Amino acid sequence: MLFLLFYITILWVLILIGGFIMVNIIAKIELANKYLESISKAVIAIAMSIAWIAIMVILRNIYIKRIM
Amino acid sequence: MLYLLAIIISFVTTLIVTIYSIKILRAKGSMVPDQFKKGKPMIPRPGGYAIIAGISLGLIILYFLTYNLVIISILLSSLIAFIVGYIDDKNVMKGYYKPLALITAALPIILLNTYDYNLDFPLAGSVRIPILYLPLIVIILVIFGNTINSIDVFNGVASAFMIISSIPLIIALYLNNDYDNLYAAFILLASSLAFFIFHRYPSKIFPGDSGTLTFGVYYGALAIVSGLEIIAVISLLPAIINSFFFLSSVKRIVEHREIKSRPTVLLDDYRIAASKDVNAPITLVRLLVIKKPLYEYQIVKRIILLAIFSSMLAILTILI
Repeated sequence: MLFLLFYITILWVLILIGGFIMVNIIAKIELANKYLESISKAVIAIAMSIAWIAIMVILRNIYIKRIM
Repeated sequence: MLYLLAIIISFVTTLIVTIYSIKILRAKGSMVPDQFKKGKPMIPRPGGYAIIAGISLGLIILYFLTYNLVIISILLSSLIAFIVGYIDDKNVMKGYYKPLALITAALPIILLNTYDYNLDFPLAGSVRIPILYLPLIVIILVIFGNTINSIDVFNGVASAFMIISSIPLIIALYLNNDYDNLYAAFILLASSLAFFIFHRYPSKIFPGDSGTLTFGVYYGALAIVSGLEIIAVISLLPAIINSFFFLSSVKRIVEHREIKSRPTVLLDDYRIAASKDVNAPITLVRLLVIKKPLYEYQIVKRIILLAIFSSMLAILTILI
């Protein structure tokens, strides 16, 4: 139960950090080619999502290895 | 006052249709065993009729009071989710059926253009994503529908989740002065409350896929049309985590009944224990019982506590 509360809190913090990075860094990227600009922003956002998922998987696996 | 009437009618309709559904489903023999109880009593299923009836009537009244197309898009998306779930209730479909079929639930929102392509991040601001927002609508509805469907493995969980998760949306909509959507949120709360009376432990009826998908898609559609996607995601974190654990351990989209190794085992004293099989899927419930076996009602209490915790985080996000 405690792990799940901790896990939800970490996920909440990651969502807030992700939002901050999206709005204040990625959204401000400007390229001459608007098409390329949109694609780059989308690729960075997807890469960030994958990184976030990786963090969550690693945390979960560490806990399960400790318990089982 | 008339808005209150829409909410009350939603509550009363769900309540009455649930009572009649229990009788009719029993008479028809449309029942499934309650797996975690002594003697596995047969419970009527699906109760989705009652949920969609209450929601539809409430939303139709609300539409004639507001003439806001947003209300119609929520109603049509929920109806599509109900049909998708109903087909799955009547015929056991493959694992990919629900995620694929739920894509169609996004059509009313897209075709009626009742969304705003600015994605609001709490504490940070918003980003304008006109192209990316369309797939995001589909993703939100598919994920929300399926997560509420997946979390509903124990008595009362899906309806309790909807009651608790509605609160942050209601607070945010009130603070945003978005009253049409606020009434729509109250309709969801009213219908969930009425259904919960019979769905809570020990259940008198199960919602079935038609009920859980309707709940999830309604919630997702409301989040999209009111621009509260991130708040909704935070409120539903325990359910999303459950689906994430399952998918990341199974590594494919599959129905729970297709899994050979179960995540939990039922002990002789009707407590539920975590499976020792390393190949068994990881789920929220498996993690809840990983240290010691628990009775069903204890697991339900813990899932509801997690839902309250994540909804408190969502409220904190709205307020700071």
